[in-house]
Amino acid sequence: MTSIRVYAASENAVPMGLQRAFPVALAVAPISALFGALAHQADWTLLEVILISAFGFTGSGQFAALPFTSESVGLFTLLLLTASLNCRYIPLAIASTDRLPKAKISKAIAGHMLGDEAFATERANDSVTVVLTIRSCIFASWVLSGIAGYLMADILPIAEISEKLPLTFPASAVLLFLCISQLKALTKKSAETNQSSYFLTVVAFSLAIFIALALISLIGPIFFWIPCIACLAVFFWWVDKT
Amino acid sequence: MTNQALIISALFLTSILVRVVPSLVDVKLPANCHRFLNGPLPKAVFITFAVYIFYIESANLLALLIVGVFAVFALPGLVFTTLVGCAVAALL
Repeated sequence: MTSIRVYAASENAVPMGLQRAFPVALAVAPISALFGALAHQADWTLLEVILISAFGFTGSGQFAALPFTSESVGLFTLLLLTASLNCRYIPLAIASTDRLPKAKISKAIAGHMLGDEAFATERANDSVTVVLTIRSCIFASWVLSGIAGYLMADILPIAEISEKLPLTFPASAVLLFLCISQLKALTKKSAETNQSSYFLTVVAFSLAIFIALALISLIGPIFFWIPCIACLAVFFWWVDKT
Repeated sequence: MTNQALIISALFLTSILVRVVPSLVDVKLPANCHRFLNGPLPKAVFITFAVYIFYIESANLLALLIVGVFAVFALPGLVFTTLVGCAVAALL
């Protein structure tokens, strides 16, 4: 009976992963297409766009690094800039390492394909297949949209359209929806374990939002990630304990 | 080395540093750490994300609030909510 259930679960893992990843993959596509179009304007080749989308795979990092195409900067300076922007991935990678395959190479590839949206789509009890399907789907969408944006740059003025329409908004909306859904699930889980009251949960979340807002206003949106995640993690650990 | 190659190398190295290496760290963690990784840490990450989204998309505050309310009350699902949010953001 158990083996039948396990077989059924693994058989459904790919469609289940695709079903959850597809709307997210659609939402990130306009951002990557915009990057492709801007890279075309900055005289990048198609191969370079494919390489940066596949090996870089980071919206914020790619957009931030693009203006340096025509300036002479060293690798260390670029590394410092992109690492500062992307250091938020460190806690995400640590928190999701249990869901990854055991083999080192597969684990490394899955780790590279970790994105904000993938992290927010995955659940703690997801199987390795579901996690790999979600990450691959979003990754493929990112790379293919970058290529599409590059190829369509001459036909469709994507860069001009982005000034009139909020092309980055779909990804932000999807990420916000997923974050709230995950927070609801996590709150439900901790309420079952700790028997905490609804009122205390609301107070804790309000305080956490206040701390995050204070930190983003003080440090700015680039460098607030690690201090904010660290502060809030300690805060929630203390709340759960007390 | 062209600037494009430098940028691609920097981003790839960054990915190794911030995503691949932390994913490969395989330390036997005590039960307390596991509880921390499955509860307080994800909560902290998701609140940080939400606050960051409101900060960078402050021009589309109403659309984001609609998405937030729909998500809190689990009203019409991810796709429909995103479409409504995008329509509001495009119209305003």
